[in-house]
Amino acid sequence: MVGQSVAQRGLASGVEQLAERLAQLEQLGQLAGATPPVVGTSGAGLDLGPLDLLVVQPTPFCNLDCRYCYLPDRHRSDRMAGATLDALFRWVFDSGLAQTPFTVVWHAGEPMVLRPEYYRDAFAAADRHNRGGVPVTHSLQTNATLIDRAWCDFFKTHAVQVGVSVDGPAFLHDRYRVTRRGAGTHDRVMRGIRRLRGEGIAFHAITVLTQDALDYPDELYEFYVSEGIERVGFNVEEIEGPHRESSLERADTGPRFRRFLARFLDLAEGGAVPLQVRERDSMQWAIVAAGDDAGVRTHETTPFAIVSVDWQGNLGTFSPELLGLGSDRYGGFTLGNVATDSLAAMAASPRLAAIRRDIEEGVERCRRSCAYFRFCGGGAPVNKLCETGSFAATETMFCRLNRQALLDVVLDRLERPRPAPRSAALPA
Amino acid sequence: MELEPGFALGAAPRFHVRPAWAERLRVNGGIERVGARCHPRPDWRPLTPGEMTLLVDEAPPAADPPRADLLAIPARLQAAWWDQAGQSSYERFAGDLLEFLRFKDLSLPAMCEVEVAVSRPGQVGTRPGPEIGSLGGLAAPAAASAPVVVAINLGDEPTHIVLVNLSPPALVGLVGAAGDAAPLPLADLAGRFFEARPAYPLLRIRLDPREGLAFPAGGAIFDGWTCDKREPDVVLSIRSATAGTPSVADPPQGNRRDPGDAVG
Repeated sequence: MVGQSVAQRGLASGVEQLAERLAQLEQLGQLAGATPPVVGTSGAGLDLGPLDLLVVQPTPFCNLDCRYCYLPDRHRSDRMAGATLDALFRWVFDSGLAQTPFTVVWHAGEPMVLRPEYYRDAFAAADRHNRGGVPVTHSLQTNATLIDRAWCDFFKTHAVQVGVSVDGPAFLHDRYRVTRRGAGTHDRVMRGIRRLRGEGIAFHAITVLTQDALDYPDELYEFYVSEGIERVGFNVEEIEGPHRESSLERADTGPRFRRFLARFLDLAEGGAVPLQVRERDSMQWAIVAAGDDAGVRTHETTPFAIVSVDWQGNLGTFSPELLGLGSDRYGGFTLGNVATDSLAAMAASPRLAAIRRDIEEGVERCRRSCAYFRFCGGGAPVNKLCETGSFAATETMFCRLNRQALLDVVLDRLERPRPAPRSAALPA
Repeated sequence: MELEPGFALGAAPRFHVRPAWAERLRVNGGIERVGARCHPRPDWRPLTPGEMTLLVDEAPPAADPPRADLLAIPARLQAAWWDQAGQSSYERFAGDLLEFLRFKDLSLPAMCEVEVAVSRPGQVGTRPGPEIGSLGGLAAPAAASAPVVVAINLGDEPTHIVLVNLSPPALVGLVGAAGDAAPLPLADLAGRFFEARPAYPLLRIRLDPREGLAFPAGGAIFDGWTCDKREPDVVLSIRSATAGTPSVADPPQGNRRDPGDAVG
């Protein structure tokens, strides 16, 4: 179905309209978090960076114990020391990787178990080393259970982008997002969300899609609308790190996932309250930008476009989820430490070379074998590794759902006439 | 008289409902006659554990035996009904409702007739009788030949469905109609059943706002019950569209029905 180019499918005018719309949304700042899977094309001299995303783990600790969590050290209460924070931002800005605007995501643990003062000092460290004035956006991905007035004040003062992890209504959320005692957390999350709304703080929601969720697009849509959530991202339940099995590993998941997406996008676009859906927007970007297969690349397969740093200052690149993982083949995924190792030293490390070689081999295999390649760029290395044991692999469950099914659904919607508005009333 | 094994009660798969059967269900001592009409006796009581075990099946439904399943629709669809209720037609609402139910893989006829009945509170039934404004009772002949497959409470307070937990094939055996040349209409079966077993316990099921009941294939003997209500009862029913009846077809994928399209 996607073996044809977009133009061959007769979608040229639709794509032009789409490009205009995306550009308008980008100007309005409504596409935050919607990163196209394909970020551009490269010539023969693919090099390092530039830095697009810096993932910082201020602490590995999380106050929740979600059943699908991939973080191996979420019970540890360590925190990144002030000296490490300083070394981190010195490294980032001295490396030359930070040439264009980039985002710092504070995550890989629950960032809000530390207090706002911690981040005030951290942001100051970033500013201190950012002598070139590169635009930096700070973003916190949180479970929202610890949001209080002080946090809201901090978000406003520092223009922090807030992402809340919530899996929809309680009957879905509480199946997976639980405390260490197995209790549901929906009530606490909703308190945090309502505080954000009460303070007028914009945020987006990220929902993990499990097998259970695929039957409930209407209930999810209604939840977001009723809670004033206007921007939504879906993560599929991935096989990563210690999370070795996904509820989505079933033969019928593909068709059900497509059906879910189509239904949800119908509601998100035709319902009384339109929603921004990160996956749709990112795939639309990819469709607009799609060229030939030759030079497609992605952030996750480009060295140092994404940089991840753990609480000890250990640095990795490619997929952020790799950082905490061990590996017999590579001896781990840490390339060095921000306190002691330069970019040049890390870039010259045999470990990076080995990882990069295998990732590029996997991308090349995707390029040769997958009709979706130009819209995807070769998948996510961490999913290839965790699902197949090798970066040099091709298709994964993540690919089938988050790339192939998504693209099919978005393309189908471009091809068909725009639907009439749905029953548009909102509950009183 | 005791309940006999019949169709099971459960929650429809892929719908989010909290059955809470103990609070939801009541049983009584059968019918009482008001003239020619059959209405439920008022001696409602909670179910015994044995009756609960007999009736309720929480396991995921298999193809057999027949079941009556609880379901729930989104609040936006209920609100859409009220938004469109004052208009001359409600095709879009009906189309969206059927689309939602079909997404949930609820078994529906290919062509559906959708009807909304508004009834007064404080009544022991809601099925209309032959005279305008009269009640027909549990054995009243239906205006439409096809049995109701789904009933949904569109109101803002709970309503109740009163039913017999036996499917038409079981009723045929019980009333000795197995040898009849032609299958009896459900109303005739009901009349003969209540004649033979007036004390057979009836079930009363509470449907909260936005909740519905999907009846087993072939239908069931049932009526509304609005005695506990203060506001008018508003219940939507879906049945197979008969020839000549305006209906909502299974909408082609990717298309929406326009307001001018047919609907029952």
